[in-house]
Parts: sequence; structure tokens; C-alpha cells
Amino acid sequence: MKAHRVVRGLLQNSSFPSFLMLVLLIILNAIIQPGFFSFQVFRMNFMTFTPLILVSLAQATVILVGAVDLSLGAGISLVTVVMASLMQNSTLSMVLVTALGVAAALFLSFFNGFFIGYIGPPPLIMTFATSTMWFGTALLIMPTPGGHIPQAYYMIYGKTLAGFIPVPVLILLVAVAFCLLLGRIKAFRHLYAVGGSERAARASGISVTGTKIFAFLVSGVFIALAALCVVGQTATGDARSGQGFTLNSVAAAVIGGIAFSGGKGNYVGAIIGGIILGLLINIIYFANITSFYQEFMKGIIIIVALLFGAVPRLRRELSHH
Amino acid sequence: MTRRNLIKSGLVVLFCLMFAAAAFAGGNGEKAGASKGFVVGLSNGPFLHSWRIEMLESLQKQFDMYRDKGWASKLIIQNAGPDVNTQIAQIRNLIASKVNLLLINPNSSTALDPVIKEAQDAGVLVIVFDQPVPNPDVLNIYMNQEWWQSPLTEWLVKQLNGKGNIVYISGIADQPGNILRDQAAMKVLAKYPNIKLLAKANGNWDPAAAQQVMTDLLGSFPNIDGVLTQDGMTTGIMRAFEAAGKKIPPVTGDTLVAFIKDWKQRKDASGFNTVGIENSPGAVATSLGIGLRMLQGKKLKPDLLIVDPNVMPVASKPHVIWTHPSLQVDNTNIDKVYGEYKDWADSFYVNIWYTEDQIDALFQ
Repeated sequence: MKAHRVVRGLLQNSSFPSFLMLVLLIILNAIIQPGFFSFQVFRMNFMTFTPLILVSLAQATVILVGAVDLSLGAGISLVTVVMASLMQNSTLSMVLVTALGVAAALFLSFFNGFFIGYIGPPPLIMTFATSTMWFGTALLIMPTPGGHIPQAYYMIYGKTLAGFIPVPVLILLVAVAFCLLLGRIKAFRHLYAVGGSERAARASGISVTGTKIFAFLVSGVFIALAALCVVGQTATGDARSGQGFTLNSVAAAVIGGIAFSGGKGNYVGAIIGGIILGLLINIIYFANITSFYQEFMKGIIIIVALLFGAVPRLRRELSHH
Repeated sequence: MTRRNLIKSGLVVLFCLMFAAAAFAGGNGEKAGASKGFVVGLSNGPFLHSWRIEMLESLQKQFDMYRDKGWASKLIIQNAGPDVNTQIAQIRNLIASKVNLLLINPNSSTALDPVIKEAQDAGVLVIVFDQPVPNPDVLNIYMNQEWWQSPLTEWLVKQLNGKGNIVYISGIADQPGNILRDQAAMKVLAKYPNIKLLAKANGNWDPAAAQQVMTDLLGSFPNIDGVLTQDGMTTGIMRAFEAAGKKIPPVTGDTLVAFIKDWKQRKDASGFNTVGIENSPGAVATSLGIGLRMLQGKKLKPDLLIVDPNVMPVASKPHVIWTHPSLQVDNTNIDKVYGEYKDWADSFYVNIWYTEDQIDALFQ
């Protein structure tokens, strides 16, 4: 009886279909990628997966509160440009500039959250506008890619700690710890209330504006970590280096079962969504698909993943009628 | 156990399994290449323009030739689109596939440096082609834009007998290659004080945009004796003259197949005369030939590697091979070129690269 209930609950969990998809893709990936379980490949895979997972978490946070962030990619680029234009070879400079990069990411997110919270433009339009602002500022600081990131700094990203923990995995663990911490904070639960129904949340005494700003700030933490990864893997400031992350993050979050309407989904799903997108890059690569079909196949697999993610909602809706 | 926790623990178990397997298999990842011949990887950026499509087709064709000779066994082509992080991920996959030679058309001039280092540390020979990367530790192979632009400019000056008013329709303003072409053109024009450059405008390598700016210039300057342009915009410029009801003055040409067809027709009908220099998508095949020979242990001639003063300080380590354009088309050989390309698609380019003998001549 109890087992039956657990299984039914599992089937209805918003992340379950994406979890199934993940298992499927891992099996597929392991079959076609030579040495998938070798440590080297594991390490290199996570160098790619980590920023994708982080931007997925960032996007999931703001989608949960009923917003969306189209300036995420441009924000990452701007942080890389700021860091690469200021960093010197001394350890002190590396530490200070890293802190400045994190602060910059938080500020950009705060800016979005503040306007959306207090003035109330549609987040889609607001963050689209700020994305062009961040991009313009990045171009202004650095019209062509460049700047200086010391080798001692960027090489950290490819290192392995204690012989078996790649740095990208460590960064991911930090992010997971942060997620667990958030789960214990009351303000975080308000995200779901505000994302579900602003009016109901307000009626029950929750500060809608404050919750939105909080969501964007939390998102800013993940964006900052993602930007550090990008600096680690590109060793450069580039006004375009983050561009691809914007829509990838939305896709990853939605694949992970975060409802675009807000208020539904969880971080486990967002992490799964990020990994799924990373696995996609690999699968398309190792399936040796000809150039003409590579982009096409990527689109097809994303749609399949979205359909998987839609299963619980469809079940719910169908059972109502 | 709640259902949320169930998923969480499932995920944790899955991760632990992956992790354990990875740690367990650590160091066992090495597998000797089974088949003979080198494995070649190409990391390309966007795959939208016909130039890039032709580039990949040329590479495949040249690779097949080397495979039949037993020099190479496998070619892996990856297109990242414009995103630099995707290109980095794909290069990591190419490293994991144990390619011996990695050809890169870079999405960024600097952002690939760390992953290029990863590849080199894994023993991969990396060659960056088409666009320069200012990294003295990686071999760059690309055409010298001055050797391409100067003859075009000289041709126009000669047509005008060193005297007259011209306009210059240039490419995309901030593109590195275009900046170098502009510099080369100005250097040539500086030698001829009687050639007056009335205006310079950007047609963005787009025939429609070129037609628009040319139309604007025709309104402002009634006395244009010649037009300097480059890379695919001649058709648009001639249309602007025709639409304005004016006689087409001497104008430099290009090697887009559509233009070659137009040129041949106009030449036969009314003695039209121009010049075009190839900017072949197939230049990647030259890089493939050079790379495979280097893997075989052949040594490049010592004076071949240079420092490109436009990209790096002159005191840097030489790491660039400048290639020469392989073909100049003018009225002496347009019939022959037309014959070769008349069945090709309009959007393709005249495509020619170094012969095997020419590549051999680069080595000791």
C-alpha cells in the first residue's frame, strides 16, 4: 500500500520525467562516448556541465518567482570583461578582482530585481533592455576580446583537488550547499508563494517586492559562479562569451520541470536540466551527425526533453477533464 | 521517505556511481589508436554562410585524398555556432576523441587559449586557420590580406592611368581582416597623388547594402571615375550605377561564382573588364596538408614562420604562416575560370588551394 503511494508520488514529481530523461541520456552518452567513465573525460565533461548547471539554477530561481532573466548571458560577459580588464598577476589582485566580479554580478541582478520589484515592468522586456545595456557596457570597456587573466588564476579551473575532485565539481558542490541552505530560509519559500499567485502572497503578508529582489540576488550568486567558470575556461574578457547561456539557461530550467508560469519546480530539476543540456552537446558530438543536421538534432532532442517534462502537467490536466 | 527525497537520493546515488566509476577507471582511459593514419578534428564556429559550407566540403574532399594515401584515418567535424563556450566544449570532446591534428576556425581571438593549451598538453597538434589568434605558442595559417588587397587596388589605379576620382566600398568596419585590407588599400593609394579618394563607405560584404551606399554616393558625387571594392559587393555596386542610369566605370571584382557568371556575360556582350582574387574557402585544405606533414615529422623551412606585426609585437616568437592567394582572375583567364565554375551554385566561391607540390615546398 505504502509502496504504491510512493511510486505514484514519484511519477507525479515535477522532476521525475527529467530524471528519467537524464538516466536515458547518460546511458546513451556512455555508450557512444569513448571512455565516458574515465576520470579525464569525467573531469572534462564537468568543465562543460558546471557553467550550464549554474545558469540553469540562476534562471530557475527567477522563473520560480514568476520572472525571467534574458540579461543573464550578457551579465556573464560583462563580468568577464570587468575581471579581465582589471586583474594583475599578484594574489591580492586576483582575490580582489574575484570579489569585484562577484559583486558586479550581484549588482546587475539587483538592478533587474529592483526595477521589476518596485516599478513592475514585464521581466521579459526589462531584462531584454538590460541585456543590451550590459552588452553595450562590455563592448565599451573591451571592444575586442582580450584583457589579462593570469595563468595561475585560470589554470585553477582545470585542476583536480586531492587527486579526485575536479575544481568544477567543487564549485558545483558549493552551489549545492547554497541550495540546501536556501531550503532552510523562510524567504526562499516565499518565492513559491509569489510565483504561484502574487495577490494571494500579498494577502498573506508576504512582501512581493522584497521576494522578487531576493530571488534576483540569489540568481546573482549563481550567475557570479558561472562567470568565474567562464573566466576559468576562456582566460579572457569577451563581450560575447556569455551570449549562448541566456536561452540555454531557460531551456535547461524548463527541461528540468520548472514551470514557466512560476511557482512550480525545484532546484533538483534545474540541476538535471543543466546536465541534460551538457549531455546533449556530447551526444550530438559523438553520434557523428553531419554538419547539416547538428543544429537540427539539437532542437529535436530539446523538444523531446520538453515533452518529457510536460508529462506530469499533461497527466494532471487530462485527469481534470 | 517522501517522493522529493526519493528523487534526491536517486540523484545522489547516480552521481556517486558515476563518480566512483570515474575514479575507479582513472588512468585506464588510454587506448591505443587501432587504425593506421592520423585522426583529424575540425572545430568550426557558425555554419550558416555558404563560404563555411564550402570550407567543410573542401576539407572533406582533401581529407579523403589523404585517407586513400594512408596518411589519415578519420575526420571529425564540429560546428559550434557563434558561441565560444560551445566551441570550447566541442574542442574538449575532440581531445577526448584523441585527435592527432586539430584545425580551428576560432570564434574568439583570445578565449580559446586555455583549451588550446589543454589540447597541446594532451599531445595534439593545433593549427588555427582563417583568423589569427595572438598566441605565440600556436601555429596560425592564414592569407596575408595585403597580398590580396594590394593587387586589386593597383589594378584600379592602372585602369585610370594613375589619375581620377574614386570611392571605396569596404567590408564590415570593425572586422580585423577588413581593417588590414583598408590599410593595404590606403598604402597603395598613397603612392598615387593624382588619385583622389572622394569617400569611403562600408557595404558590409553584402551586395544589397553595397548597392544602397553606392546609390547614396552617386547622389553626392556626380564625377566618380572608378570604384574600389572587395569580396562580394561588385554586383550590388554595378546595379546602383545601372539603376541611376549611369555608365559603369572601372570597378574591382571578386570571385563569387554568381559574379564570375555575370562578368563572363558582360565581357562577351560589351567588353567589360575587371579583376578578382580568390579568397578560397578551401584554404583549410592547405592547413590540413601542412599539419599532416608536420605529424609525419617533416620540418617546416625555418624562415617560413613569421610574426604578423598586425597581431603581435614584432619581438614575439614566430608562429604564423602567411599564405599567398593562389589565383588572380582577369580578362585573360575569365573564359577558363567560367568554364570550370559555370555549373556551380551562385553563392559559392571560386575554390582553389595549395597543390601537394606547393605544400611540399614549404618543408625542408
